[in-house]
Amino acid sequence: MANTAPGASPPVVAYLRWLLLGWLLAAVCQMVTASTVLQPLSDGDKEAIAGYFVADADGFYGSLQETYHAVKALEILERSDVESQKICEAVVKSSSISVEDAFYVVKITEVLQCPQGAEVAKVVVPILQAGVVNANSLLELHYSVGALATIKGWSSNSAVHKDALSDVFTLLKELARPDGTWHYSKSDSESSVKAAGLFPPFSFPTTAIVLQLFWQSQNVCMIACIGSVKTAAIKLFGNLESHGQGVFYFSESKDETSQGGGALAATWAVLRGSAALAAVLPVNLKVEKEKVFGIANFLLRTGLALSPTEAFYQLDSLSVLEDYRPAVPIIVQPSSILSLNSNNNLEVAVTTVLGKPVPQVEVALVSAHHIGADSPPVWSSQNFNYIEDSGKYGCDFLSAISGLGKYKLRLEVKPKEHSSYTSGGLVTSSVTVVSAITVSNVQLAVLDSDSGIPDFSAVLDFEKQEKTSLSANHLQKLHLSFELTSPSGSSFKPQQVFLKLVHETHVEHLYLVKSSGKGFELTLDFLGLVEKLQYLSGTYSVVLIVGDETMENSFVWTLASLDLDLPEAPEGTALPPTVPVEVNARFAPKPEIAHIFRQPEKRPPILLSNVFLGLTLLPLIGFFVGLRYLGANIKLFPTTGLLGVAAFSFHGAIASILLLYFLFWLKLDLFTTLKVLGFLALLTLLPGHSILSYLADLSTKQKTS
Amino acid sequence: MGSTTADARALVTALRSAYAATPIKLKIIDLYVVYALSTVLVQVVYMSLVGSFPFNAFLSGILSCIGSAVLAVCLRMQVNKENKEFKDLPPERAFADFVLCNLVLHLVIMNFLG
Repeated sequence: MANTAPGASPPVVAYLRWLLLGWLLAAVCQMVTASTVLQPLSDGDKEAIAGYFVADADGFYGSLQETYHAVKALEILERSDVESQKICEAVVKSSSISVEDAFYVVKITEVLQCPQGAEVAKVVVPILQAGVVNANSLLELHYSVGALATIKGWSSNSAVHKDALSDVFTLLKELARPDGTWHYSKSDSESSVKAAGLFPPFSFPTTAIVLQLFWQSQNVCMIACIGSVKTAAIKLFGNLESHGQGVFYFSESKDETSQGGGALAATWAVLRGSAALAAVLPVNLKVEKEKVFGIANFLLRTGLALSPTEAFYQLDSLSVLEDYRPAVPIIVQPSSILSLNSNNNLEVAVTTVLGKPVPQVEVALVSAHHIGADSPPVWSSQNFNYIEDSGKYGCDFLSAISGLGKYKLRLEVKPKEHSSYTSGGLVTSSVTVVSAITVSNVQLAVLDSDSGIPDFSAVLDFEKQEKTSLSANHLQKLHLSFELTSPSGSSFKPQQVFLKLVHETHVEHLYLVKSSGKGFELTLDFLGLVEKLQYLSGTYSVVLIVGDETMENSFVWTLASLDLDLPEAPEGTALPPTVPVEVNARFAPKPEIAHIFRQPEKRPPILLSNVFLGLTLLPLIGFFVGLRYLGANIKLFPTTGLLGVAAFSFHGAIASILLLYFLFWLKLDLFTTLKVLGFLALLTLLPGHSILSYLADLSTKQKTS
Repeated sequence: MGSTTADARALVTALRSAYAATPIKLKIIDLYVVYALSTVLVQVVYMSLVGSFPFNAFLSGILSCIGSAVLAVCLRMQVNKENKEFKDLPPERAFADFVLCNLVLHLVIMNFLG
């Protein structure tokens, strides 16, 4: 690649294609590797999500629903750029609105903690109370009951009538189905085919709120009804779907009653509802911790949302999981790089899904295994200590390991006091132990080819990045040797060690430096390399490249500038290639070619042309005047009998031929013209022949008589 | 000087009287030739004023006129009774030739006109 001839472009393209393919494969592998470690919502993700919500001039974010989503999401993100005063003032003024709008007005007022709560309640309570009475679907119940539960206490008249409540509860019981799914509306229960597999996402919150209202209105709900709701809720978690790797989610039903938003919306609704239910039920809702962690897994791995609505569902679901009663998922993230030189502890960050540190857990290292080495696990169980400053857990890992390299870790997280934390079982991750490598005894020499006696020799100091200059010819050799030592004192063998010769024209030659005994050594015999160097004399830069994954100080070091004197190229050898074309330049867009049309020729003024058209007609007039002056006439032109017909058709045929010529000039092509011309010529020939022969006969008679 | 003018006048008068004896048919042909050539003159003047840009159009205009003039001269030679060379050729035959040649000439001219 270094000295590719300019003519060899197809192999170069093929090579680049393979390179690209390799890169893609590597990227995919990296994604797979990355996917094994779950990460909480990063600051960048939060910033990106906040970017979805853009306020208009009134401070709103679109419709009432979109504004509610936006202010709720921005509250979770702890951002203060919401113009709450403007929104509050606008919201109070909204009147004659639907139950759905009233619900969002109440929710916005709640999130922004508007001081106008009582005024809002005055406007929306009649609407909502009517909504409760008239509701016959889950969604309507969700809006009206949900809003009323929220504004309870804002105003004195907002309580729901107890009779209405019991109606609502009866309706809910009707809609609930024994398998944990729900009918969408009363009419649905009659057409069971349509309702099959139906899962409206608003069943739980509504049930929870109704229960809450029952509780607070001191009504006695039978133990049986609590039991049935709880059973329905737990059964609903049986509907969780999974696509492997511990990812769980609720899928949306595929009929027209769904509210859009896909699996995210469905998962959000169940989480919100079950959280509300768990908050009001006197008994604990037993949901498997693996499933809760699986849901967290789904929410974090699903990537950035595509719309503000999806972003709200994702963010609100995560905020529910922050304090979810059945189980709170936590995320364990060990640091991926550990340097021997800095005496760092191995640190593990334990956070909630939104990235808050969790201090009340016990973190233990179950085992550590050196990847690539056939050694047994280097670590037995060891506990981590909580570090107050960083909010992370740390342990002294370096004292027990054998050397540099990549280690596979298995961590266990046990909740200390709060028993509901779940980390989804053992956490597997890897850490790379790195260190600075000592480079010593760097010796660069020019040897005589025959005797091997050094003509020139220099010892270079790596710390100072020293550079020397030397000269050589084709009868000499270049010799390089150096040693690499790891901190433990053993010799270190990195993955990549190369020597690069770069000519002043940027032609590059790469040589692999092999390890020999204690260190690394390379001898370049210029006599054998003359042809490969293409007889190119001049100044070369000698560059040493050493790199490894576990090497903190991987380097590219210009050792020397080498003035190389090579013999002249013999006759007939190919010329040295010019500077290899930069890949970027080769594939960069070429400069745009602006098409320039031919400039039209300058034409004379129309008036002048017309004047000369008239002038060309002048001689014609002159011709006719002259004829008159000469006394020419057409008195002898035969007008009667067969002769007259012949004479007229002869002249008519000639005129038609001239007309044909005129049409040929205007539009006809040559072939059409010739076809018609053949016909007309025949038509001219016959009368022409008869009339002219008659005239000829006439004149001969006159002569003879 | 005076004699020169008189000589020239005498020459022109002699020419005119000699030409007056020419048959009227030949005079018509002569008039036609003059007509064709003066049309050429107008076109040449036009070209010298505005340039020869659609050169093919200019060329076909000129050649059409010159060709007509040449054909007319040929016709005159054949029709002229003084000309003993074409004594056996009837003038009608000459006229037919003239018409045919003109038609062929102008087919080419139209093709070239563009």
